[in-house]
Amino acid sequence: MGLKTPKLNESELLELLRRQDRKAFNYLYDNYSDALYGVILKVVRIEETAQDLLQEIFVKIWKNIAQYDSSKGRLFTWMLNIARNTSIDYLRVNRLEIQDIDTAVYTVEQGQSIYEEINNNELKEVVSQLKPEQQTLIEMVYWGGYTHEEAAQRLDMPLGTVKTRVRSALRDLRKFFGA
Amino acid sequence: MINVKEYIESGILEDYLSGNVSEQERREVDCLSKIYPEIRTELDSLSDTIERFAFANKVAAPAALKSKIMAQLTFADDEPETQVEQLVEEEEDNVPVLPLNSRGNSFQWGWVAAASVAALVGSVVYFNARLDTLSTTVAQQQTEIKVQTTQIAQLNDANNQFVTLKGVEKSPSSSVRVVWNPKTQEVQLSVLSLPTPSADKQYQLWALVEGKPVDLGVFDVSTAFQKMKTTGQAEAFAVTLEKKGGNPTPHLEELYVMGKVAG
Repeated sequence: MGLKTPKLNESELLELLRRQDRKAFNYLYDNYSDALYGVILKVVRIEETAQDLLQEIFVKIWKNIAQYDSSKGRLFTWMLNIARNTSIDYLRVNRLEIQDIDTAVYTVEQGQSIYEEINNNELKEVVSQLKPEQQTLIEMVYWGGYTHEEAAQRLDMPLGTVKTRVRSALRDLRKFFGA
Repeated sequence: MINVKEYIESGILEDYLSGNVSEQERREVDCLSKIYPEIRTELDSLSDTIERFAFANKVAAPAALKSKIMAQLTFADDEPETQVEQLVEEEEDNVPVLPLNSRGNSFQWGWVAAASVAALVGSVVYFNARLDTLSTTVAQQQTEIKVQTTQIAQLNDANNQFVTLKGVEKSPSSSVRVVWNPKTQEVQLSVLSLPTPSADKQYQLWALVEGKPVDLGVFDVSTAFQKMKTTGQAEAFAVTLEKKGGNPTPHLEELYVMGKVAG
């Protein structure tokens, strides 16, 4: 994570963000942009599109930061929601594209070669313990904003199975992280 | 009481985080996670897992993107002539501060108080000249005292549960006292401290029954005990600010005070 800027605690960061402080934006961007970019890229698959969306998302984060309520959850969760909603909006508008991408990407049997771009780190090791199917489910549902119904349809699985597996995938992952 | 363990294991928190919940369920999770620390902890831990998963999959965005984004944003240290939008925003930001300051203006209040005293003295003189009217007033007051005595007797009932609803982050200094008799199902409420709402708004009391908010009616800001709708069950009570006359479901973002029923 960000080594360039001194560590701020979350309430200090929020206070500075609300004052539209430039340093605070640097901190936010340096710490979170790569994680958000990875998420968006996975969802929309096209680099140019993901970059446009990342811009849109950071502008939204900046404009709406006053609405973030730390008592309701973590900052990243809030930003991820914005990222997810922005990506969903994009995908819904470009419905044809979503179909093409789906068949190419979200086929469970297909090998997961998507993680090549990742920096080598401990997290990656941990995540690799998760079954490819579970990774796909987490990406689709928690990142991509797929409803259970949509995921069931795309993966050709019964709805009940998707529901159970989506939940257990996250619990398994948590176990691997040792949280 | 809801079974917290069962609630957590039901998978609703995972569905909440993936957005696979109805509006009602979303509010329920928002509300319950405020009341039950175990639910809050579980929710944070699951969010943390999703966060780590994202960090495990991070991809470096092109370096040029950052300056492109920053060019679209307004910063506090930007040149003022390009800052029309920001100035407007700052003005808006200042608005809520001013009414608070103007309250501290004791000079005006002094006049208001003086005028009130004068009006009161005037009315006493007037009523002195009309004893019959005055005796009517006394009779009215006696009736009022009787009502209050009945209320006090009700408050002394051994089955009563006293619940102090404490201010949440929106209004930390607020508090409301609720007296609930699970046997008679009666609910009474007295405002200890709440901000005065605008004329088109009213506070509304909710009971949390099996995790679901149940409407107990609207009330005005008054220290006197007010009778609310009855309920035989309640895990917690909460007060939200709603439109005048109340709403069928609470707006959690307008949550002012909340308190758990003991036991």
